[in-house]
Amino acid sequence: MKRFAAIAALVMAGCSAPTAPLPGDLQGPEALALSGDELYVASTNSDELRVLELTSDPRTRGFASAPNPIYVLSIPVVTRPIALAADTDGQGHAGPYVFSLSSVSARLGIVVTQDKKEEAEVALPGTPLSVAARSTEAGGARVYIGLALGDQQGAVATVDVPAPGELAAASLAPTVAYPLGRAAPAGLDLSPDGSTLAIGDRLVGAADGGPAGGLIFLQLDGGGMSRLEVGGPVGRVVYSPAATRIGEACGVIEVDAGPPADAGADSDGGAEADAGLAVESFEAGHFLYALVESTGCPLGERCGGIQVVDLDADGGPSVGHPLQVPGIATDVAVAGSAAVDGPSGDLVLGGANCNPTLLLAVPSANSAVYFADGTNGQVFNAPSSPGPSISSEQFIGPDGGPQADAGGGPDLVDNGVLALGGLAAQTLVIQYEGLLPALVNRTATLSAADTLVDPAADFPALGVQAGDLLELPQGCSNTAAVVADAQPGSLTFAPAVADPGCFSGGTYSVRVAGSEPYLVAGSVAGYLGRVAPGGTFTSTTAYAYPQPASQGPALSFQMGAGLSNPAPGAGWTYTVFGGVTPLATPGGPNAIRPAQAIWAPSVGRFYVAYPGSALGGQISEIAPELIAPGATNSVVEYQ
Amino acid sequence: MRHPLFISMLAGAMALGCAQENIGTPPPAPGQPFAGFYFPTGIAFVPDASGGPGFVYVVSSDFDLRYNRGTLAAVDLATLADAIPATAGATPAVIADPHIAAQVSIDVLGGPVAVYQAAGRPPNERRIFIAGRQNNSLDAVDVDGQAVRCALDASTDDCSASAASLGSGMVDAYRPLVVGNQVFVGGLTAQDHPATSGMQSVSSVARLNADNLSDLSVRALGPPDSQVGAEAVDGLAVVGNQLYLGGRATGGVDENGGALYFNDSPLRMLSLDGFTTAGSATYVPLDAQVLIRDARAMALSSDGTRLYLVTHSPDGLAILDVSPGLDGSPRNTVVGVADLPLGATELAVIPRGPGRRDVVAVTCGTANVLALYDDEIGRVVAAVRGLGEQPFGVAVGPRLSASGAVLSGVRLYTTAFGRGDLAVVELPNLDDASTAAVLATLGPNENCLNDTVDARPPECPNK
Repeated sequence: MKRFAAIAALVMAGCSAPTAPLPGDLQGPEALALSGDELYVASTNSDELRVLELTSDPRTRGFASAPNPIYVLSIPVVTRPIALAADTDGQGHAGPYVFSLSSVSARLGIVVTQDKKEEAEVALPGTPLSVAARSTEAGGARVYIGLALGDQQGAVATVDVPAPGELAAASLAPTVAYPLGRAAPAGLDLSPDGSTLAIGDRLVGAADGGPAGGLIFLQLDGGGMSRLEVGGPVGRVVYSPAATRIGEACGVIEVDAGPPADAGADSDGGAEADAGLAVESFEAGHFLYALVESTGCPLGERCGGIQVVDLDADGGPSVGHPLQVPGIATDVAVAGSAAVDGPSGDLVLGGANCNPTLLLAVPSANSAVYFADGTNGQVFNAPSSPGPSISSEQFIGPDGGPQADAGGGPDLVDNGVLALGGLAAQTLVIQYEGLLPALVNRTATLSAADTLVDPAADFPALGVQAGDLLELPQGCSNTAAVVADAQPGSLTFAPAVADPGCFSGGTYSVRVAGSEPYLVAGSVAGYLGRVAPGGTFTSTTAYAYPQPASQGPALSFQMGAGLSNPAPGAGWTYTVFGGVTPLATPGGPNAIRPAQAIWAPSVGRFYVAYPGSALGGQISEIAPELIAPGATNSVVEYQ
Repeated sequence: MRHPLFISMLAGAMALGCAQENIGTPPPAPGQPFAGFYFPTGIAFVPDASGGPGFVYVVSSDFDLRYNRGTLAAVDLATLADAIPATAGATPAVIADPHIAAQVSIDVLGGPVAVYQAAGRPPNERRIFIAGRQNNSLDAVDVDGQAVRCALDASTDDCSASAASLGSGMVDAYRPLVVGNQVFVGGLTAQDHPATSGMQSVSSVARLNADNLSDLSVRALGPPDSQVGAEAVDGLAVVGNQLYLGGRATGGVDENGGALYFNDSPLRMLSLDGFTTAGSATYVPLDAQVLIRDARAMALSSDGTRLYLVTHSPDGLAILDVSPGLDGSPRNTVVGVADLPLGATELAVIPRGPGRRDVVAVTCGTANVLALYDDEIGRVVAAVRGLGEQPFGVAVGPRLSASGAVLSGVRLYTTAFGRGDLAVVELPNLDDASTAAVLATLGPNENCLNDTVDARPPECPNK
């Protein structure tokens, strides 16, 4: 009898031993969708989906197996799926479907999650770019698809999908329900109450200087459409979930250790004292996060990053400055009421114990994932980061020749005021009749001797003023060409270009001159402004890393009397650093170039798709605790 | 009278001598069975003198060395006007006759081409450069419509005989680029240390005079430019006075067993003013912005402010702002990355006109598609199929009506390395990529030459 018991125990032990996780065999995963406790992963280059089962026990978390359990489950779908959406009801409960979108074959794939199988495809007009879905009371779903229809026109189409049991008999066809005019709807998200479709318009500005994309809000009950400029063309858009903050906000980035800072965020529920802890509540949909894509930025302007839009602000939606991260932001995911426990309990940042409430994870093309406060768009600063600094003043001689510094400069090291987060680390120049950074050796045409046309150049935005000087290539006589008027796309001169025939489709540059002849520019930030001798310089450009408005301008200083012997190009350079080193975690040792990110509330983890993993692709699981300094846990890679 | 045996021995020796000079099977001439494109790679479009449809010139690389030479073949598009459908049908027209008007022999293992228009010459008169990877030489062919001649010796149709050597130290010569009246070729220089190890190769670039292929200068980008590493130079482009060099991952290991694949950023700049000067090559630090480990072809945007860089691992198109910075040198700021289908290789820029952003066509050899990236939307908006297996080269030409009027949009010409054909793709509306379609493929399937009869495709006449 003992022998049988021993054998039985051995067998049971064998059965209960954890099995090795199945390899995901991912091929360039670009998109994710969460349906309940299942994370659907688009294996984009192999035209299929995988399912990562988000079990509560991390040791059993892994890819779902095929019916033959030695193989990973494959769900063949549309060609090259680049976007996924799972339908949910108003409370966030998972519906019966996951939808996959193919831009290159213009098709929508319909996967029934219970069967783990694509059971229908729908042909779409134009080039589909984005997808969102909402469950219906009848057990089906309504799917919204953002379409580029050609000739720079965009639209949102809908597909009504019945309950899975009726799918086989259904005739599915898209309806181009919402024409958007000039737009490229590259991102869609439904508001939590289902009344509004937020659309990221990715189209760049028109050649005639028309506005670049931005946000479009579509009232689905027939209430119309409204636009909101957020500083550039937009890709992904994400509504915030409901969140409650207990404790101190991370609203102010402190550098020096000190008492906890006050919250700067707007609040729905107001702040209350409860056992000594402040409590703030944010309803779902209070904020919208928009990925402003830097490839769409106008000439010479930096516009990329994550724009935090406060939809409940007094007076209508409030837009600040985009949240920048090193590299290029590729997506944004938001966690509501994320529990962040550092080694000592609470998250400690710069001496302040705080709770981020709405925690943003922003993957960057440099493969790191950055974290920010979703209530104000502020990145978390590394505790060891030094404060703002201006150093290393150097005199630079005029173009093509040395010259001694005869004084008259701003003495920025002693007199400059650089705000925390105002500028990223870079070289700053203050230069007499310096060349405007975005207008060096540009190609243009002279429509007349007194008119230059460059449709892509928004001259006033790039810093051109009346009195500035046109510079043509060597050999052209242009000493008298002075800007009389600057408009988007064109400059007029008085006097006119002396030798227009010499120019003939060549290149031009513009130097600052006139009443404010000193250029102020950064090697990263580009044009920051200009200043007159003896004048006060106050930058009006966005902070590199947003801070409360009370901090004042990013950079200010008092200019000296100017060079005693001014010559074009002469001036000073400085090394500047705004004192912010954004906190980040790598996506894992094999992670290359992330695509989409998503928050899974049931397990409290971010998931980031890396199509460029050394093994063909991977999903990185990132715990929010990783932002706590001294955190010892690490990223988990699913490959 | 000489002894008959002596005469026959003399004849035999002469024959042997001839055979040694031109050993192996020459590629089929136009009109012969299986004449066409054989493992085609580089391609160029050149307009003709009379405003007609123009010509495309196609490199056959002879990748498996079936023949003793590669070829550069001229396809007269005017002769195809009736054969190529005016609009796309349900399936592309399959035109077995490749319509080769003329061809010359070149070195084997030729790749991408560079096209040179000498000062004062009309646009239909061009010189096409092709680097041969086996012999590490540069072939030069002058073209003018159907006239295809070896640039340095018009008396022969074997241009490999007059090809310029790129020097004994250079290996893996791959891509030429014309700058002014100079032609550059990227590759590797083997330092071979320890001896016979094949290790310690360093990226290198050769420079020659484009008019006479003289004045060879090879710049090995080794120490003191030590950050460059041993990556074969692939993509080439010029921004201002800087030559941009893209590094192709070699997948090898260094002498310490480290993977070269993971070593360095594969993009660097070399000053044209100091081509031969140590230290004039600089590493472009991209890692803080985007991880790129393997760079392929690159090209400047039509307005000159952006560099489109094709990458592998993962396959994508990186977009860099290369407009001048404060010091006048390019900013080298990565402003975006678009993921591409597998096997992204070559690209062609399709301008939309002043003030507009480009469309970029990228061949994706593993996925067998031509991807169209729209820089106004920032997305891949189409992936054209039906080009043939392993599309490689891509060239852009105009769309013309039957009467010769220029129509909107463009025609794209692609080579299929794995099938041996030339595809004609139409993109009538640059603002609607869904209008892109393959009109026709030209040429016999090279797989019909497979030595295993059963492995030949069904359409082969010799199956």
